[in-house]
Amino acid sequence: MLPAELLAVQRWKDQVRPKYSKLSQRDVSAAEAVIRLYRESVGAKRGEIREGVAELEDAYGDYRLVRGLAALVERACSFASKAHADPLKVRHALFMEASKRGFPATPEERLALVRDAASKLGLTPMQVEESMYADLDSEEVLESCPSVSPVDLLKQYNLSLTQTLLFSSTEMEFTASGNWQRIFRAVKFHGLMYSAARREGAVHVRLDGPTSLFKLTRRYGTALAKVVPEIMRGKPWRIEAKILRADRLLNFVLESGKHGWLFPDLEPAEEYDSSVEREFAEQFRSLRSGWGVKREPEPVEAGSAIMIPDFAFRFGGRTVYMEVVGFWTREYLKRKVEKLSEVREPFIVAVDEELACERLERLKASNPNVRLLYFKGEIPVREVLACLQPLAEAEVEAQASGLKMAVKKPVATLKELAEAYGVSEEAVRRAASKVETHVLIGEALIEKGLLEEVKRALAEVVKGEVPLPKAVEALKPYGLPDPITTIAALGYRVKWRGLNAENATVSPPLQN
Amino acid sequence: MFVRLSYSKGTIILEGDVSTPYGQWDQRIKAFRAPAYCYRDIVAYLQRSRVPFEDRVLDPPPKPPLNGRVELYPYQEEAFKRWLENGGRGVICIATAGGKTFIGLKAIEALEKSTVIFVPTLALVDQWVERLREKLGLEAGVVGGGRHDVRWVTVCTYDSAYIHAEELGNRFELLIADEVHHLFAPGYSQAAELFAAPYRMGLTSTLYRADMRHMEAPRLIGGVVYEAGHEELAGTYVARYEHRRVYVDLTPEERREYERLWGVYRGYLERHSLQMRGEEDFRKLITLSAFDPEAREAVLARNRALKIALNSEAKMRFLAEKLAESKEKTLIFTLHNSLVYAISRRFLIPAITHKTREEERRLILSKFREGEYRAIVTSQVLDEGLDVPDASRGIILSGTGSPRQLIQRLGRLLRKAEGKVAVLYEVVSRETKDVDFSRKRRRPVEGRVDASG
Repeated sequence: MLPAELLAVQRWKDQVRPKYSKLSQRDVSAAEAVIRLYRESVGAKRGEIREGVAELEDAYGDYRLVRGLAALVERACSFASKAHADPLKVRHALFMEASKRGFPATPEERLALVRDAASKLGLTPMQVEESMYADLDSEEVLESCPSVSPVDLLKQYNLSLTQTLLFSSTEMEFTASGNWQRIFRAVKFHGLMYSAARREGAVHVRLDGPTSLFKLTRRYGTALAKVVPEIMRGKPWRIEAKILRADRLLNFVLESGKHGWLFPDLEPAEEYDSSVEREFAEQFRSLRSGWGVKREPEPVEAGSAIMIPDFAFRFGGRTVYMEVVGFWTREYLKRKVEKLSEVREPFIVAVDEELACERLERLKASNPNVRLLYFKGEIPVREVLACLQPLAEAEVEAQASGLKMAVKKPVATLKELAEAYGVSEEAVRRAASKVETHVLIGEALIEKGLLEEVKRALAEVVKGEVPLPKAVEALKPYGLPDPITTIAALGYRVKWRGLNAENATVSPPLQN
Repeated sequence: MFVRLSYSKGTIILEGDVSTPYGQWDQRIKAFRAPAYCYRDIVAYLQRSRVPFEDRVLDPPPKPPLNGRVELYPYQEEAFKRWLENGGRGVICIATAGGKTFIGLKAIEALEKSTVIFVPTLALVDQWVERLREKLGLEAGVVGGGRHDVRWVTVCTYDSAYIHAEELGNRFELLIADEVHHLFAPGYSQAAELFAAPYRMGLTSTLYRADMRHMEAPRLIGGVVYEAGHEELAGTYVARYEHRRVYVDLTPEERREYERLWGVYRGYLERHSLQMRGEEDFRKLITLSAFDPEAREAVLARNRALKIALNSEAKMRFLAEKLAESKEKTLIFTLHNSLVYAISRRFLIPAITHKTREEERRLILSKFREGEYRAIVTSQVLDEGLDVPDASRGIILSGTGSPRQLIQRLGRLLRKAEGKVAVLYEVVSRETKDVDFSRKRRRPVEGRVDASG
């Protein structure tokens, strides 16, 4: 963020945008010069360095660019006061002396006063002169200057220009593709209000403040500016703001696709990953339920408000969200449930009873989409799955009834078909009876003609009790995924002796 | 019919089935919302219309016991009475050194309402805190200058009030705005809108603002309920003063450089047929200078020329002469901090600017009060409301050309002392732009606002 007078803008029609540095060679060399000035000025006074900046302003013409870059570099530097004695003591010794003996009218009189004060302080007159105002800003000495590349500095400058323009904004709308939790934390922290709507698959969030209702106000401009870096972490993003400048309301649009290269490449911030939640995700996956699980998914609309769930479970076209509530009070939970009353997707609120801040009283949600799940300590994986299963069942039924398969291969596994048709294996299993050319055996569909051949081959080999491996060997040419299951499915009796198939035997079907 | 009023971030939320004046439907929260400053009017409306309501707006800090009484002069008494009669709202205009602070203290004592006091500087924060302790035995809270301590009576800079308005807006029933003309700056008037305080008092020596925004007083704090200028108070309650304008010549080198630089500036204006009729025109030139290097050169030349006129060596010589002439207590004013420090270094005079830290400022003022220091050089921080004890001589070395600044600078000197006549020197460089500034400083105060307005 920069002082307003360092902001230059370009305007066309009702649009406005800061005059960004396009990272041109000329700008890069200006940035280089500014960085060099500071890095070579370690030990110099702030006031002197600023004079150097003024010279660069003249040299590069664009004084706002140079001064803005210098302000950013200076902010990252550390300065310290270099005095031989406490400046406060030194100057008050001088003031005392002068008030007592009369103010000096000539340089000679002044020197005499300084000399006397110096000897009382045990300093030389030179040291007194140097220390007198050593604590002033402009007298502070540059101690260290961090290294930054000219291009990075220019990108940081562009971000600062954006924020400076947004100081005059009255409202802002944005979309992003991640980092939601941090974005909304910033929105709340800076006292902003939002309303959200889903359009064309993206969540559009409008930000302004409580009093924006009454009149156009720049009051929330600073807060809006502070949210921008968080939005930029959720690429791709788009920002659109109304800027109030000289009594005119202008539009400011920025898109990561077009303008992202002008700004620092901010990564989504690594969220604090609670081990409870991470363990839950791992355990859930290990169940292999057919449901996918994703941490920190996109926000969910709840009327004009936004919920940012901790998990999204996906099964086919179904999505169920879940938020895990840590420490809570009844009032907090009530508000949460109220907020969810307009949610249109199924939403599980998992509440840890052990983290209740007051005596527990279970709440019920009025919205049938919302399910409150109480637990103690660990998020119960099986109970969560139990909440999901009815939805999976309905989804499978819907998939199966809509599924029409034309199977070309003589042998096709459920897995292959599920992938080919984009449905669950269970749906394929249920729809298998509709395939007239094939028969479902175990986890695969087998062509009827092929099955006849298999039957004949088995009848050849199994004429009385024979070792199972022999029968399996005989079926090898047919490329069945699970020959033992096929053998059993055709009525042959398999007798196991221990777990090893080597020791098992198989007998022909009983004649009835 | 029922309404529930609550406070949220500088606004009043109205939940219920009655629409009230000022309330606007807020789709985001599905309730009516009104600016906090309308609180008093909303409550009055509901009472008048006999609508039952639950009021959860105010949340004042706990009240400590009060110890002490504030005694007022008759004219202060009169001012306070008129304010009360106006329903506990309104602006009191009393010349500098007229003891406005005491009227504010009286309001706290008489109303016994939790109070926030807006002041323009940290120095004034201190002064109010001291007075509250001394006169009412109150330990006041402070918000501003790195402190954030909210109490039953809290002193707050205008800046901090602006920044923290959402959080503080429902903690106080009485709002006192010291040097209330500041309240009408666009940002600060927003702070006044975000506070719910139903009782409001503005204190100032002159309400007038060049941008005429003081016309907002009736809406934000109440109109003028009492006014007493210098003429009424002079001699009886505050000391008289004498104003001497002194013209000095630039040194020949300064004159040459001044003419050259001013020529660059005039030349640019003439080449582009530009006329400078006021601040607005000049702002346009500044804007132009961002694109046009020549315009920038012209602006820089003008600034350098003005600096020469304002900081002329001749003025320094005049200062040296006056300092040598008498040892009476002297306050020296200049516009630029750089000149403050230059004078401080050259004449070994303590300096006070906005950069001066709290303890040092206090040290300088107390030594000045005791007579150990005979002079102070300052830029602007002493301009307002701050008690500077019995200085009898003032020297203005440069100014911005605002009438308020002159009046307040005069006020600095007007401390009641036995048969004293204060002298104010205004040092102007002859035949420069500086003459215009001096003329502007003497422009009469206009644009008054009445309580009825």
